[in-house]
Amino acid sequence: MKNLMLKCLILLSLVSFSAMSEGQNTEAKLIKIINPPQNHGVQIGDVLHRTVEIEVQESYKLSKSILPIKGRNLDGIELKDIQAKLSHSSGKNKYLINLTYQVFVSASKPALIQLPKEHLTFTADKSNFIVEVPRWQFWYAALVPEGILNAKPVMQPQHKADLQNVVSHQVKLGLAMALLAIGVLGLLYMNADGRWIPWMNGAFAQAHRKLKKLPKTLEGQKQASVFMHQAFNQTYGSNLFDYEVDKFLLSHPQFSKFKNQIRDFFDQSNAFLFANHSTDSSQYMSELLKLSKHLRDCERGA
Amino acid sequence: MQISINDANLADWRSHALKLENEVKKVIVGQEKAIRLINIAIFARGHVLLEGGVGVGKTTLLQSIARCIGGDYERIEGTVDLMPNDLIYHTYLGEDGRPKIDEGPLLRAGENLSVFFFNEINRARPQVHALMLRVMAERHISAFKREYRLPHMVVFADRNQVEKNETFEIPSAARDRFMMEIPINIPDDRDLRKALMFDVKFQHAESLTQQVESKVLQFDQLNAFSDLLQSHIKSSNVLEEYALDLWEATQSPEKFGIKLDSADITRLIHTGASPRGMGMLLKAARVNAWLMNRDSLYPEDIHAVFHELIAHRLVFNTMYENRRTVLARELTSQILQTVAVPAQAKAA
Repeated sequence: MKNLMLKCLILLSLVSFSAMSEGQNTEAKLIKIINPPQNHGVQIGDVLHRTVEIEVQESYKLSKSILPIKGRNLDGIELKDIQAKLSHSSGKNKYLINLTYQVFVSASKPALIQLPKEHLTFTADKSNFIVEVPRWQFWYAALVPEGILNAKPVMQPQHKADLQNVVSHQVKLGLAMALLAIGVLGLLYMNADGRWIPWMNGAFAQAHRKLKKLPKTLEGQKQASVFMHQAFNQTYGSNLFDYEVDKFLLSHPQFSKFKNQIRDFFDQSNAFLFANHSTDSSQYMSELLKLSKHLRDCERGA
Repeated sequence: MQISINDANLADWRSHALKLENEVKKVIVGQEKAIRLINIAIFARGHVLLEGGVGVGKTTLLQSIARCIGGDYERIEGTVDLMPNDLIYHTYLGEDGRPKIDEGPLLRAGENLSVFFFNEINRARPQVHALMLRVMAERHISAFKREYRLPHMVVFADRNQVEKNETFEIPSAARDRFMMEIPINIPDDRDLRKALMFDVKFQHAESLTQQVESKVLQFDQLNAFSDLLQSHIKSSNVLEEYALDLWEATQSPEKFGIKLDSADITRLIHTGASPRGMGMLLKAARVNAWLMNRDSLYPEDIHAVFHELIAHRLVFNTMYENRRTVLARELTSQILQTVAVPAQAKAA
């Protein structure tokens, strides 16, 4: 009895080993299958893709004559296209097979549908074998519920796309815009000359505007000196003379960095107004324009 | 005397003038501004009224100046019983017992008189003032049946403003004859005060003045050089307009927006500066320009002498007269601070 049982077990083992060796073909290897990303919400007309990657011994080739036929319709699933691409690598053939299906199932209720299993045949000179690509199931969604007369009561909001987090981008954009605005305002503040701009109506700002309109003649030169003296007097609060420049700078330190230019102005102005020393009007007025602009900027803290 | 004027000549005289200042500064401390003003008056050939308290060094200052100028120095003390003839002659009994008459301090040195110091002029009577002021204006006088010329004389008079008893206020017309009224104040600097107290050299005025180099200037050439100097320094139209504005401001300060804290400006002025006063102002300003090594007048030249030339010439209404020293200083300062140059309305 024991011997009989032992014999039976050995026979059973041999049978199962034989079955296993048939199911796991050593000449082919199914590397990967890429199924459609979503297995629900599929509707009539949707196109689904499957990609299968198979590696076989170099002697085996995919038999294209017995590939699934385009246009085949199985339970409402139509094979729309099939593409096979061969590549060689370390003595093996690698096939990349793209299967494209289109759904033509019509149902009024959700239904479990499947992409059918496919059989791919590889042949050599004297042998062949078949690789089976397993079926892939998914849930079919009806376009509209059954028996519905008015769609409105059962309408659901469209499925929203997942929102990306854009807060950091918004912050960066805001900062950039703020910097741009500050820059533009700064440039405007530095370079514009209108009296409507804040702190643009001081004594030297007025003098600078007047100086710009003067002709570069002897008369213009005289008036330019007058306008500059007026600006100094107005800022100082009383008449400002050459010998009081230090006192002026002490009470108005914002002008100190142009001390030498201010001294030069008083020297030149004295020579021109009181000693009748002739100077090049054009150059004199250009220098005054520069000085008035500098002093205007000091005056408004630019 | 003819002297030629050229740049070297001007520079020579200028170096002498500056040397005079430096010599005087050796013995008189803390009076730099007064010394500069007196120097200006010497070269502008103007008479000077010194104002200051007792014992501030006025006499030493004048003796030092006189020593530097060269020529003869005379002085007289103003007293209530001083009469005009005391300036012209004095009588005494000679060795033979007979009365004799000799020339007084004004005539004694003749044409060599360069500095005449009238100490405490306001103690003398108006008759004395009248004579003195006439001599100051004309620089000659008739006495002993002959004409005495005093062409090089500069009068320095001192008036004590502290004491009012037995004094006679110098009338405005008389004050106007003086080119400047220069305040001689006690120095504020503590070190200077200490030196004046503890440095024994300041206790012997006579030996102090002996330290000053004599005859730094040629007193008999000063008139001629002054004339040439005055013609050498030029003034521009802008400056002349400014001087005119200043003159107008002494007459009607309210027109220029001048205000005083302690007086109603519309009632303050009775009479402003005189034409003679303004002429003297420009004369003194030209000397300042020359001392500053310029050949053109600048506003700062006028400012340098404005108060000392104008303040004593202003005639205030009676209610303000007793505060004239303070008010005059405040007014002249306000005029200089307010009257613009170049004038805004005219130039613009």
